[in-house]
Amino acid sequence: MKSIKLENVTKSFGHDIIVKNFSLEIPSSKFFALLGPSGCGKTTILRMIAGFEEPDNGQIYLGNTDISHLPINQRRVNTVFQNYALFPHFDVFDNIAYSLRIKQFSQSEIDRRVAKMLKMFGLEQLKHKSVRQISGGQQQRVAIARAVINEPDVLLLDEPLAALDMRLREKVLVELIELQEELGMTFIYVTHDQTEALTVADQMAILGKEGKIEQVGTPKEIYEFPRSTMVARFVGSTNILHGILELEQDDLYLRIDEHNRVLVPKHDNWQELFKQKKVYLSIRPEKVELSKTPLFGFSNHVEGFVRAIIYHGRSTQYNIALANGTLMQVFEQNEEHFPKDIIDYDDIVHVYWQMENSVLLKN
Amino acid sequence: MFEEFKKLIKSEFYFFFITPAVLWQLFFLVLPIIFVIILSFSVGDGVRLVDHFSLENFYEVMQISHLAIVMRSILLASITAIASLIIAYPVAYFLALHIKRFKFFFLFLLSIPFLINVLVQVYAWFFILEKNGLINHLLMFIGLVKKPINFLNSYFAIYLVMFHVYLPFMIMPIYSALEKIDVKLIEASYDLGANFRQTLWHIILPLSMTGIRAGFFLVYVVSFGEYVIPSLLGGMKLFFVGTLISEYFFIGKDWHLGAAFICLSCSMLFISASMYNWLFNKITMQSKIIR
Repeated sequence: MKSIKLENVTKSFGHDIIVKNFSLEIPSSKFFALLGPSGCGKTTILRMIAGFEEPDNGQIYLGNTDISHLPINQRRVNTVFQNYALFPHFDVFDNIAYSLRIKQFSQSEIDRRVAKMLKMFGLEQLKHKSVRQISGGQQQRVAIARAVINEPDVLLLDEPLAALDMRLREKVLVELIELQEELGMTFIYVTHDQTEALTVADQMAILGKEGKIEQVGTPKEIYEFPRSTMVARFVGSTNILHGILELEQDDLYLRIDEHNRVLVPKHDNWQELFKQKKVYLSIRPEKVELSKTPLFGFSNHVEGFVRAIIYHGRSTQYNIALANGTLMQVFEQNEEHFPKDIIDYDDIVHVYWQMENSVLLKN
Repeated sequence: MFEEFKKLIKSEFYFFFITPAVLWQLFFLVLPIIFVIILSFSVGDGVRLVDHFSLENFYEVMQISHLAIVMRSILLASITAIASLIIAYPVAYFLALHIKRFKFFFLFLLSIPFLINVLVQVYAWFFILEKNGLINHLLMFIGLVKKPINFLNSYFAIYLVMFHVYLPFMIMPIYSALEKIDVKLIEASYDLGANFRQTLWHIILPLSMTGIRAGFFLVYVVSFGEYVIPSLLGGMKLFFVGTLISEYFFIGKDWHLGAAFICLSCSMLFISASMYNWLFNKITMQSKIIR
C-alpha cells in the first residue's frame, strides 16, 4: 500500500485555472477525504491521480514513483465512479472480472477471485444478472468490487453515494469504513458532503477556491479546531462573532459591540491576532447553553431575543438576535417531553458558553 | 395535459393515433407487395392482367444471367456498405467522442448531402469524371496521362459515387450510437487496465453495435436496389437489380416477369442480409469474450 503525494500541481482548462500549485500528501493505508464545495477542483485532483487528466505542472507520486504522466492503465490506482459506470452489456460477474481478464489471468484464478468478491459484497445471487436489473445499492457494490479486485494501491471514490438515498447512505458509509480496514488500501474519497467526510475519514483535507487547501487534519481536529471561518462554516454549522481583541490582566477579550465583550481562548498565535483590526470567533451551536433564567459557571454570557425556532426532532434550533444585530444559532437537545423552561418566540434569553469551546480565527 | 395524454394512450383511443400510419403502410407497402406477388405467380391473356396462376414466370426469370445480375447487386451493396462502414466508423468515433469544438458545424457539413437531390450529386460527379472533367484536366496538367481517360460508364464510377452518396447514411446512425456512450465507461475500461484496442473492441464496439447495424442495413438494402447511379454512370450497359426491374416494367412492359424477378431478388436480399445479421451477432458475441 502506497501513499500519494502531489507537488505543486497545476491544472487549467482553457483559461480557467481549476487547481493552482496544489501540494498534498495522502498517507498510505488511510481513509482520506477530500472535501470542498462544488467547483473547488476536488474531482479534477482525483482525475489527475487516476490519470484521466494530466497536470500542466507539478508531480504526482505514488509511493516514490512519479506517475504524473503515466498512462491510466499502468497505474495501480482504481476508481469507483459517481454513477458507477458499470458496463451495461456485461453481467455482474463479467463486470467484476473485467480487469482480471484484461490482465490475462487464468480462468481458475478469475473464478476464485471473483467468487471471493461476490461473497464479500453479498452479490452471489446476482452474479448472472444484468447490471441494469439490479438496484442502485447493488450496482454500487459491483462498482466497488470491480475496482478493488485488482488490489490497487489506492482506491479513488468520486462522490460514490451521490446516487443513493439517505438511509442507504448511512449503511454504505459504515460498510466502506469496514472495507477499508479489511483491505488496508489507501482510500481517497471525494465529496462535497461534510457529514459523509466526517463519518468515513481518518484524515481529511478541506479545499477552497482553485484547490487551495484550507486545512488538513482528522475530522475531529477540523470540526473542533477549524483554522478559518471558511472551514468552520463549511464543516458543520457555526456562529461567527467578530471584533477586536482586548487584553486585561492576562485575560483576552473579544469586543463584539460597545457594551459586550467575551472571553476568548489564548491560542499560540494570539499576539499576532492581537494586532489585527478584525478577528473572528467561532462557536458551534451545540456548545451554547440557552436559558430564560440566569445560570452560573459559564465564562461567557450575552443576551438576545428569540427570532426563530426550528424543530428538528432530536434537537431544536433557536435563532437568537443579539443586541448588536448578530444572529446566533443554538442547538438544544430535546431531552424531555415536557421541558420546564419553555422558550418561545420573542423571549429574552441568556446565551452562555465556555471560552475554551470557542475558537479564535484570523480570517 | 401530460396526464390526460397518458390516459388517452391507455384507453382504446390509441388506435386513433396509429391509424394514419397503419393505413399508409397498408396502401403503399402491403398492398403493392401483395400485388407484386400475385403478378409473379400469374399470367395474363393480353386483356386481363391475371388470367391464370402459374410458375412459368419463375422458370423464365431463373436464368444464369439474371442470377448474375442479382449477385452483382449483392456485391455492389456489400462493397458499398462495408467500405462506407470502414470509413464512417472512425469519422463518427472522432466526431462523437473527441471533437468538442465546432461539433455542430461538422455535423452540418455531414448533413449537406441530405439536402441535395441524388441526381444533382450524380451530375456533379459527371463534371468531375468526364473526359473533359476535373480529374482528367488535373492528370494531364501534371503529365501523368497523355490522353484523357474515360472514367464514366465504369464500375469505378458507380462504386465511387455509391460510396459518396451513402457514406452520410452510415455515419449518422453510428454517430448517434457512439454519442450515447457514457465517456465514463471508456474511462472505467482504461482505469481497469485496458488499452485503446481492448477498450475499442470490448466496450465501444459492442455498445455502438446498434448504430453499426442500422447504418449497415440502411446502406445495404438501399444500395441493393439502387437505380439512379448505375443507370446514369453505368451507361445502361452494366445491369443491376434496379435497372433490370425498370427494364421489365417500363421498356419490356412484362409486369409478370418483372414481378417474378422482384420476388427472386428480394428473397436473395433477405437471405444475404440475414447472413450479415448473423455475422454481426457473431461479432457482438466475440467482442464480449475477453482474450
